[in-house]
Amino acid sequence: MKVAIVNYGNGNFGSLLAALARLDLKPSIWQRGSDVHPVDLVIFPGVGALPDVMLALSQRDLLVPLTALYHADTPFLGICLGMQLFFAEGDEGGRGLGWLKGKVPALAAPILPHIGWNTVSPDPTHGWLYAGLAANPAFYFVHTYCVEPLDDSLTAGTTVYHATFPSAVVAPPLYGVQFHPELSGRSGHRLLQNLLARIQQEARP
Amino acid sequence: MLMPRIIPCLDVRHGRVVKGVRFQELIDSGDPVALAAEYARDGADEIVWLDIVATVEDLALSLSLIQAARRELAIPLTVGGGIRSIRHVEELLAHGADKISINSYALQHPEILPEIARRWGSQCLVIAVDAKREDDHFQVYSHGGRIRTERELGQWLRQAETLGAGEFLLTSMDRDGTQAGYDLEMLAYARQHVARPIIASGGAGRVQDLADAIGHGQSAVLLASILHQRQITVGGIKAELAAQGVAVRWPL
Repeated sequence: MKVAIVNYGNGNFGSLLAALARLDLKPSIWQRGSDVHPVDLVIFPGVGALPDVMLALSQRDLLVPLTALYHADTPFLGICLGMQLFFAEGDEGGRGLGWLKGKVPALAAPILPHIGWNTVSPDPTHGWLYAGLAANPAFYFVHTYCVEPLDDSLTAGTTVYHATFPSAVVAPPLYGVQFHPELSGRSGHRLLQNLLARIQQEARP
Repeated sequence: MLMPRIIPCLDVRHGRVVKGVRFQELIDSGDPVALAAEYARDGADEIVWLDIVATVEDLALSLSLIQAARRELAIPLTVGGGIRSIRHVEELLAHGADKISINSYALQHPEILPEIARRWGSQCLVIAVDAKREDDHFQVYSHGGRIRTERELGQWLRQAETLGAGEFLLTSMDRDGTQAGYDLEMLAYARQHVARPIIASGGAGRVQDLADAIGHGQSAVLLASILHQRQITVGGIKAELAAQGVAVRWPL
């Protein structure tokens, strides 16, 4: 399986590389538009701030080729900020890619960022994502913003931190998680396995 | 529901784990990569790795060990100790640290904090603070507790938050290594000053100390000597907390 990670920031994704290595995957790293080529999965890692990342994508000529891949139905996994990128409007004043309709508001909580292991309540229609995991599996979160899809049915799981927010979004070919599977031990490993299996299955004619 | 984080801390020197009592009397406790992996298998929610890097040789060794730890660990890794430049931060992150922790240098050069926060996001910037009770207040110390600074705890926490701290690691020098329980009063005082997560550090001796801190609203607790001396395992701690009705990530 060919996987690519988009490097739109300072390349702080060592833990993601380590997690993919545990799945026998060696991703290519895309720094600029000319690096983009057909792959089975593109990953938006979860580092940085929305406006900076959008600026970097545009300055590195990544915006147009990535959008073309998306329109060609290439699967994308967005992690944390990477998922927020799929959406249109952010609270920080920035705009995301606008591939999905919705907002990126700040969490309403007295202590931010929301850091630590929190449980996800899976949406039963997306049970495949959580196969082999506990009923309410725990994952590692670190974020200040969340997503608010216009279409509720995209939400594949929710989490509570003072208020309930979507912690997983499934809108094929877009898959997003607010938590960091690469930092979530066995649960994160299994969730990534489930996702990769699904993507391979859907790729079959 | 957000579960409290149980965070083993590795104090590393020249590639070995050491632990002192009240910032003194260092004892060798083993290989940091093996120990970090063992803690992760045992249920650690995160690892804090404080490496005392003094020389160029130390730095090369430190980076290679962090890289080895990263390959093993599927949980967050925070690395700190002797960070004095953006270049050092870059190296640590490139070798697999998820967050970096700064203590003394931030006190001397607070201007480095917004630079780090801008480049990597405040979520990867942990400010470590060592403080000690003095009469009616808490005073901040630097350089592993050897130097008394002019700063009062609440004032420094607030300033660091404004400069981009995403999280605090607050060590009570009075309690560190004593196993006499966390300084709940100091933690409550710190909480009044900042709206960022605070990792409680210094004084864990029994599971009840963790239960008390969590009961007082602490969402993250650091452990060192209690683990290195093999009095109890992370799994043992979590099982006991779970039995007391504390929601922890257990079983894994």
